[in-house]
Amino acid sequence: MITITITRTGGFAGISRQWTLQMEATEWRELVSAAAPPPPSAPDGSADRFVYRIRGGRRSLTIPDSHLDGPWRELVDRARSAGEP
Amino acid sequence: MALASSEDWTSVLLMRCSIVPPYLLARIAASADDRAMPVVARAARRALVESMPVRLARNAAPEAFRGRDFGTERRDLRAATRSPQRTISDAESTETLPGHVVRREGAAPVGDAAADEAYDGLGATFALYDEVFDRDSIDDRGLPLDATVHYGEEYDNAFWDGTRMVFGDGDGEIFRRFTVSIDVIGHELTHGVTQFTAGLLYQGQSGALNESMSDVFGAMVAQHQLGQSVEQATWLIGAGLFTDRVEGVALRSMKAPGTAYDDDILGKDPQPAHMDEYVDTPDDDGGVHINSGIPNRAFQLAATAIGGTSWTGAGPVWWAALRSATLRPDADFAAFAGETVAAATTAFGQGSLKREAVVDAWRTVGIEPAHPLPEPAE
Repeated sequence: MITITITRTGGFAGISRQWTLQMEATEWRELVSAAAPPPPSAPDGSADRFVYRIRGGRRSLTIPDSHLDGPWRELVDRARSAGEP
Repeated sequence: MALASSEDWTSVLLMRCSIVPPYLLARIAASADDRAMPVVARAARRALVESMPVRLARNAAPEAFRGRDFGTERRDLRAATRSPQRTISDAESTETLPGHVVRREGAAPVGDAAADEAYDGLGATFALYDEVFDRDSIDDRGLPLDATVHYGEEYDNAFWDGTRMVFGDGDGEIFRRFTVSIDVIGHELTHGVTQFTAGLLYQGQSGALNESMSDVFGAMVAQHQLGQSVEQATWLIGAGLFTDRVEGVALRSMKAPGTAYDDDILGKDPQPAHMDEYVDTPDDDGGVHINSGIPNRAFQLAATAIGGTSWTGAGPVWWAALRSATLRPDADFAAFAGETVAAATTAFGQGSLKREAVVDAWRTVGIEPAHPLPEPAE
């Protein structure tokens, strides 16, 4: 099992939130290799949007709120429903 | 529009405004009581805004918007016919935009608090830009104001997506709905104005300036609507957004950055009040919502020292700085401070106390205003 840490920064309030989740190392590796890499930055001209940073093992991904979908969205929802750290 | 004609308009504007010196306009605008002499006060304010170093946005705007901000011609004709074109949509707790339309311009209240607050807040923001800064909506060409409410599930945010304002309902435990505070609505619409004028890049110091513009003009929307003087104003951003469970009065304090909340779950308001405490971080686009406290406080200090109301005193100075042709999209705090000093010099005079108030405000937060670079076209 490895610990996945999800940090949400930005947003109008500028208040950071963090959630963690335990996951099988193989499941994490599959997710990282199978899921399409999200674009690193938010669309031009937007402001006050959330940014998610997802870290597990040596991997770290940054996903703008506007592109949080598919398996990454499921991962964030899982971590959030697992409760506040 | 061809280069020559836009420069013609600059000279027309300068000629038109040379009749009454700016410092006199400022005095008229400040002393003419809105109730006793509404026409005089309004005319003086409008002329004052026009007499600021109005540099056509061609030089300052991002590439995509160049040539679209020549809003000075036929001003009187346009001003008489201006009205907002608001459309409020409901995303019904999904994250799909725009959602379905629930209220169009001129329609009666629909009885949904978020939709009606968004409609009214956009109206108040349109009014500030129209009546005080003589701007016809976000782009000065009457751009329709589109907003979506009830975005997402328990969504703790409001944002500008580049074309519309989007408001979440909050989670109900920490945050209430984001339309509750009118300065939040003014904040989001101002992101559109900044996009169409200075185009301040949303990263590091220019990003914190972008955020500060939204707080500064959002606060002015609230103060203008309530008719508050600089002494009466709370200078809080997002008051009423927190539920009763949170130990805090608002999301940000422009008067005392870092003091808006101190809560077990949320922690303490991280905003610095001075450049010595500037936060270097890769998060939040380089701390744009954190370091905005520094220029926010500079505005609050300048506005309080100049006195009267924010939108007649320091507001026009900040507005002229935001529209300056020499303000680059990657401007840092010192460069923007320099633009406000240049605008204050034009408005109040070189040796005036009000110009000194602007310089002192920046120095109090640890910023030495830079000298603006000469305009590329001159």
